[in-house]
Amino acid sequence: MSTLELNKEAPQRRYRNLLSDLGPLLGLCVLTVVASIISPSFLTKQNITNVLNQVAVLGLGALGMTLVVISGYFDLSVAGMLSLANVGVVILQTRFGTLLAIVIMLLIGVLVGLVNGTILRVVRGDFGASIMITFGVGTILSSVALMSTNGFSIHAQEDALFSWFGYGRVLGISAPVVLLFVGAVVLHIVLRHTVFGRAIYLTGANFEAARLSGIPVYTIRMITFMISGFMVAVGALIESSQTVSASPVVGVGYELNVLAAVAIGGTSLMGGEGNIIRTIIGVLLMGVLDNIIILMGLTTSVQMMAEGVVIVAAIFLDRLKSARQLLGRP
Amino acid sequence: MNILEMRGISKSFPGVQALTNVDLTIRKGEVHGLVGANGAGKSTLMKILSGVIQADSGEIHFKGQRIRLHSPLDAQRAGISIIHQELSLVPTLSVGENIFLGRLHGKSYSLRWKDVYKQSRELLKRVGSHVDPRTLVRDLSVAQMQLVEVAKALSFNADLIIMDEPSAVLSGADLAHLFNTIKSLTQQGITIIYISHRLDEIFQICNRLTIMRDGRVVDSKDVKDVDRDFIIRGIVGRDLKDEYPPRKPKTVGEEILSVQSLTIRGKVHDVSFHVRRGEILGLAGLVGSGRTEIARCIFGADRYDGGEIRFKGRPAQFTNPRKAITSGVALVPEDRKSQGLITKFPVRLNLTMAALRKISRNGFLRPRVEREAADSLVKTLSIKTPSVEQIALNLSGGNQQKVVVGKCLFSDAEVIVLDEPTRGVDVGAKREIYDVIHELAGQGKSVILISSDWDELIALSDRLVVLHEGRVKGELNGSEATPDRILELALAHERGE
Ligand SMILES: Nc1ncnc2c1ncn2[C@@H]1O[C@H](COP(=O)(O)OP(=O)(O)OP(=O)(O)O)[C@@H](O)[C@H]1O
Ligand SMILES: [Mg+2]
Repeated sequence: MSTLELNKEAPQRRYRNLLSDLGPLLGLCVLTVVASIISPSFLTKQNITNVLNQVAVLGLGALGMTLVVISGYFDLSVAGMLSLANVGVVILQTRFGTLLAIVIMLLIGVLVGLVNGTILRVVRGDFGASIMITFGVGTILSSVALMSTNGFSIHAQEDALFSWFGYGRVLGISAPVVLLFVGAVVLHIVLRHTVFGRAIYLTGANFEAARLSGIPVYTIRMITFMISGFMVAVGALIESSQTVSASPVVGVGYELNVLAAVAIGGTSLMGGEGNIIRTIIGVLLMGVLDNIIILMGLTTSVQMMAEGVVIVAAIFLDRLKSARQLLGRP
Repeated sequence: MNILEMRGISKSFPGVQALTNVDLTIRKGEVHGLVGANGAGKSTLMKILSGVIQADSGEIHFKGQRIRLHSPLDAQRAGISIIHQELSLVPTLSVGENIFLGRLHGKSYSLRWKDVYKQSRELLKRVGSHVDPRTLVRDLSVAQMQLVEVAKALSFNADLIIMDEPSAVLSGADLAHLFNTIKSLTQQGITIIYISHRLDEIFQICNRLTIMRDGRVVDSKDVKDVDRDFIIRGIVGRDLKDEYPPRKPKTVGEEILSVQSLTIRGKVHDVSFHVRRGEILGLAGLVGSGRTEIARCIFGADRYDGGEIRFKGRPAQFTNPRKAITSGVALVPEDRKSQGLITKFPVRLNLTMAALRKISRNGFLRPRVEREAADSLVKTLSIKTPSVEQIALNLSGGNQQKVVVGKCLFSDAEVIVLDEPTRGVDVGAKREIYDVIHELAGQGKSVILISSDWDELIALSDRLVVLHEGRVKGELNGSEATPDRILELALAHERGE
């Protein structure tokens, strides 16, 4: 029903909620066990690092999206944003040097969030409007990305800073994982312990009641968009650094994968509930799933099918749970 | 003859024993009043009778047969229909669609719009409502919605109609319509269970009544055998000396807020009034008089077309509620479920949501401060809940209302606009809210009070502004006001002015 930490009510109920909240985690465990049985190489340090490195880009987007979703909106511009930042940093690199290119790209990420949020404030947009507006903005970003490279992939110039995002290490842990971890911790604290985080929940749970309580609802949502844009820009840096190149179509389908990770973790797409831990579980679940398929040497089409099944199953189980609650049955 | 017997009904929720071994007997054709404090279990008992929830134990006999109700549909089929305490209409559908929701098609599965609207219009006429069945529900006032709910309950052709606080938002003519409807229903042999916290109504329309307290039945009696004090004693469990706090002579300060020639197209025309520090100003009027609209404009929740609102001598630029709140204006909105509460969140979050700055430092929440604040508000307003972590939805209606009032108190405003603050609140708790209002005024704060309970309005207000159809019809001193005077002013002919 509501988030774990918000929901410390009568003991029986908490227990029941805990069980259903643990569903995705249980799924992740089962999948891990299955994976290690199927392939002995799954549990090697090398492979686990691989999985984590591969989910970093998805994960960063999902972290930002979690905030947007809790506030009651969707951000579909992340796909276009990923493509644009991906090629943008490589193009800007030649002219301004790596550092400035990175800074500019991060700022553009924030700016795109600002644009999304401002349009939606001006039109007093609801949930549906957020889908269409951010989709539109994302489409524009995609086309800018395509135009700026004439549709081709481009090579990046490698220097220490640029390579760090994909291959650097902090205390022996790879940079993408560190970035994902830091992002998760910061946003977790923001959501749980700050006034801003509380305002996100209130806005998403009952927009009108939050507004009448003096919460700056549209500003709150705008800031979640800005965070989302920033996180995606960081993800794009990792992506281009890992591949030492940039493709203007790298973001295709990214928005739906990100949303799927958020939903699989158990954050309600209707807003007002959810948290970062769930999203991380959702992201890992998708990462492990992909990894199993690769280890088993199966094709991308099988991978797509498996992802599809997991998404449908996760939402199905979640809706079943809330339908039961609506009917007042245990 | 008894149409209904409920025997030994018990029901518990996690942490709450809502009903203990309740017996209720209803005679055919009567209007049976059901009264009791907030959280006494009235709504729970009625939800069981209408199949919304199931009892843990007990039997229901209806029209001489034992019935088992597993769903609202079972109850409808048996001939029981209910008007729930919280409005349950779909805002984006028309009035007619709402009345016939789920029954819109004929045998051929084609829609019969003409029939739907024709029948809706007839039903609405029976409850004295003039709204067009094609209007969207979201464009109606809460009072109009309430009448639509009654029309909807009628449409099931039930033998027993349960009304859970239908009058909480009605006054004057609307209330009279409701009572006439109830009378004509009983003449048709229909039985009514009527829940209300307004005791006058019990004397006006009920034949018998049952008093509940803490999940048990205290007494069932013929109304003619009891008096007001008896009922209050039954509800509260002790004597309540006065329902209203005594009027104290007081000195009011300078003007703090004024409304000048406020105009909202089609709703409010050229309305002016002001309120001073330490003053309780009542806005009196029938439904449609524009009271709620004015309140929302003062609070920055809606835009207006003309006029000006001044706060502390300067134009108030309240373009949104946030600005109003930070300047020191607070509002208890009309509809608690959609505007006042986040029902799926714990009581604690609801109480503190309008004053997050008070429970935080440098942008970080302070859990202990928040908890203490919530606990103390629960105590001040005696909100009945197992803990501040209970989700608001699980509180009884009156206790939910107290949460909204508590939230507004916590925001420390200087001007407090209360739109039906005691809606659905029991006599004992009403008195507590009145005391709070007096205390606020005593501290030099100003209160703008809207209430469809005119006795309450008169007893509390220092001054009353009488509105009718969006126009100010006059002003009354609190001590000289009576319901008749208000009505007289409200309906006075234009030429008299
Ligand atoms: N779904 C629920 N979960 C937990 N507790 C509940 C639930 N529904 C009702 N209660 C509790 O049961 C008790 C009885 O509630 P009920 O709504 O029947 O009161 P009521 O007599 O209708 O009060 P009011 O006059 O305020 O409407 C209350 O203490 C309430 O908090
Ligand atoms: Mg009730």
